[in-house]
Amino acid sequence: MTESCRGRIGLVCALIVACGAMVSCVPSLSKIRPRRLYLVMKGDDAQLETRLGAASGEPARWLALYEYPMRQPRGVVVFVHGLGTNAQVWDLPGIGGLATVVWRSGYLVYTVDMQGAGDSWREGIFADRPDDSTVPLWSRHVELVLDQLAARHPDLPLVGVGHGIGGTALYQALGSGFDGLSGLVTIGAPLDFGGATRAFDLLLTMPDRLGLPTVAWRQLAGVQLPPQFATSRGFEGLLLSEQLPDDVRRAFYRSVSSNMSRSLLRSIRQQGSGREVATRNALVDALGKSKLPPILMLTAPSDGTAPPWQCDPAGLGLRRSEFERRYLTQSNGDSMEYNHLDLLLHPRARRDVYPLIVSWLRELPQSSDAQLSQVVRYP
Amino acid sequence: MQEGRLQKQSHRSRRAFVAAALALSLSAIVGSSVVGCAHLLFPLEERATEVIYVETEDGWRIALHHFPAADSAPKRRHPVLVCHGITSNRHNWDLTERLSFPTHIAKQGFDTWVMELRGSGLSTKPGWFDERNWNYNFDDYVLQDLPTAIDFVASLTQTGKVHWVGHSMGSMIVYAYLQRLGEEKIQSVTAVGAPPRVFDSNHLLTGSYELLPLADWVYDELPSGFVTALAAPFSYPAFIPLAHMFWNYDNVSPQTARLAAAHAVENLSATVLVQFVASARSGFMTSVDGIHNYSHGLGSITVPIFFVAGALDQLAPPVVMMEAFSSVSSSDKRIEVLSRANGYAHDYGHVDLVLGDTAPDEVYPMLARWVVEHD
Repeated sequence: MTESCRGRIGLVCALIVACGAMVSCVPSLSKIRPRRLYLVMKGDDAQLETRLGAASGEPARWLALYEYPMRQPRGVVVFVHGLGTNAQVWDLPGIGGLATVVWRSGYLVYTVDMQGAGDSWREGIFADRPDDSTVPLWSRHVELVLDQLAARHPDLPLVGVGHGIGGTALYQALGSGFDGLSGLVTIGAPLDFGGATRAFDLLLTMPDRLGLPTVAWRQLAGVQLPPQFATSRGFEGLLLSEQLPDDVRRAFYRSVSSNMSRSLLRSIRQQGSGREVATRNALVDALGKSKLPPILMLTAPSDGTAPPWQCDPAGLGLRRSEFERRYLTQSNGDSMEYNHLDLLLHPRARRDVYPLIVSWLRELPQSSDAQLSQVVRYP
Repeated sequence: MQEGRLQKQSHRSRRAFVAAALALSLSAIVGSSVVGCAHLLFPLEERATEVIYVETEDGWRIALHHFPAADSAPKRRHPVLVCHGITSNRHNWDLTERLSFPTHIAKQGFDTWVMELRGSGLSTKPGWFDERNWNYNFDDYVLQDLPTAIDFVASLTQTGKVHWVGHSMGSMIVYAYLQRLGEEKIQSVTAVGAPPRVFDSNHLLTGSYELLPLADWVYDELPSGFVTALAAPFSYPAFIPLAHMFWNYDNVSPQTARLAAAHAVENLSATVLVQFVASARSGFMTSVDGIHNYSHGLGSITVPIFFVAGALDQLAPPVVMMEAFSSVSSSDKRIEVLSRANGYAHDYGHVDLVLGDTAPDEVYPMLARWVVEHD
């Protein structure tokens, strides 16, 4: 082997080693392993724990949180999922999602499994206790999560991102007077449940129709819809998406689809009370009177689960300068018409939705102490 | 030497001016020819059996296209008066044999009339040597064109009332008519894609509001019909995002899009346009003198009224149609949002509510049922 050959081989090896070193250093290219925490709730108390201990005295409930650590973060972003999904809707295994994109932009990220979803407390863990989720209960849990995270990171701006009723729960936290949020992003999040689409109305009755305490999107995939529905799209096509690539769809059903309790669906139905139209309600009134952070409201005309007339505050008589309203539709220059799940999981959401959110986050006023904080305090 | 330089500059400027004028004239000639060819390239058949002209108090002729009730159908009590939307004409409702709501409703036994507002279709349009000009406004539609047409059609019946069916601005004007002139001659209203005000869900449209009133400054007419006919051969598929404001392109065939572009779009009075821009800015629709607030006055409407909204309609989004539904005081009112999640084949856009591929199967029968139930 000549010297020049050895030299070239050595250069190639050095390049490979350098690339490998870069890969391991640059967070965007490495696999993210979130750290699991638990918000343990006993009565009125709630505490963040790193593991679940044996419950003593009054039975405890818990929510699982997933922490994506970041050195010197710009802020903290907490993601709250919607109906029938879980925390992995923000970070689909093997595919990624909005949470990973926001994390790569330099934020400390938390995703939450709400009651009944993922690794949080759910029906069946204690045989004698059904899942009593309601929208107000979700809202209460969200407030507890926000309280704990605000206390954990007092020097960092805290931003909430909610999809579907996860966003509704965040709105309700604001309406109840929680003032620890520096910003809020809602994606297909109803402010009122009146004027629901017929397919969604039907969904709300499915536990009763099937005689089950909970239903999941996975179970509903094979349900035949009544003849009034013009096509054979099914619940998935009408309420979630018709356009997801197969790998994303499979990952959704494998990892994300979670139980929807009869109680939660009844709660939504009750709040809608069969009204033909969405109308101004107590939540909208409360938001009208509350101190609000900047809010980015995203809605899509083709969203069958949470259509714009339920989500747009301007349509419900609430015009506040804090709201930035954005309709995701082709006539606004977006690349497709989005249904409820497309907004998070369709590949085109990476082009239309994610950059919108990330650039909005970057424009939020930053905490002046953000760079100095050591960020994470482990109990 | 200086004089020579100046002379040369003057020659150059004159040549440039002449060249620009020639180019402009040539474009106008070519453009007009292309527009004329668009009508030939995409021919239309007329289905009305006759056209009656009625004259308004201020001297404008309004065309009324008659679709007589089918002899074989049950006899109905009230006629139907159909009206087009902004920048449109009779072809908004009657484009082809299949895409013709007047034909459909006439087959149900209703004596049907399709009116064309001033400046549209066969109604009077200001000409080069006409004392009339394009400076009419929304209130002229409400106070002149509508009463003239309604009075004529209502006079043909024993009851003296008509069923009103209007698309887009074609029902915005009836909201105002009912408030200003009363409900005595209206049996029922079907408001298809007709918002009570201009809503700001489309930021591209909202951004263009700053530019549109330039039409008033440049000329008194927005050449929407001219431009759309010019672009008729290219109207499918959508090349610009704004085109999606008019159609859900999944619910329209290339032929329909091109026919509509060639025949169904008219120029628009810049004054009407300025009134709509003012509505977008203020958040409500008012009379041109600002005295009557047509959005806030919806509460005075008590006639049976049916609101039809398209889920993808960004000109009359369901959110603002629901606002109209909530505002009217009618005890007999209904709203229907045409979306897939509500059981329809498509999320309907603005124009496909009346001219979409599935409109004859899904929309026309629904509108007809309402009219029959309220006859």
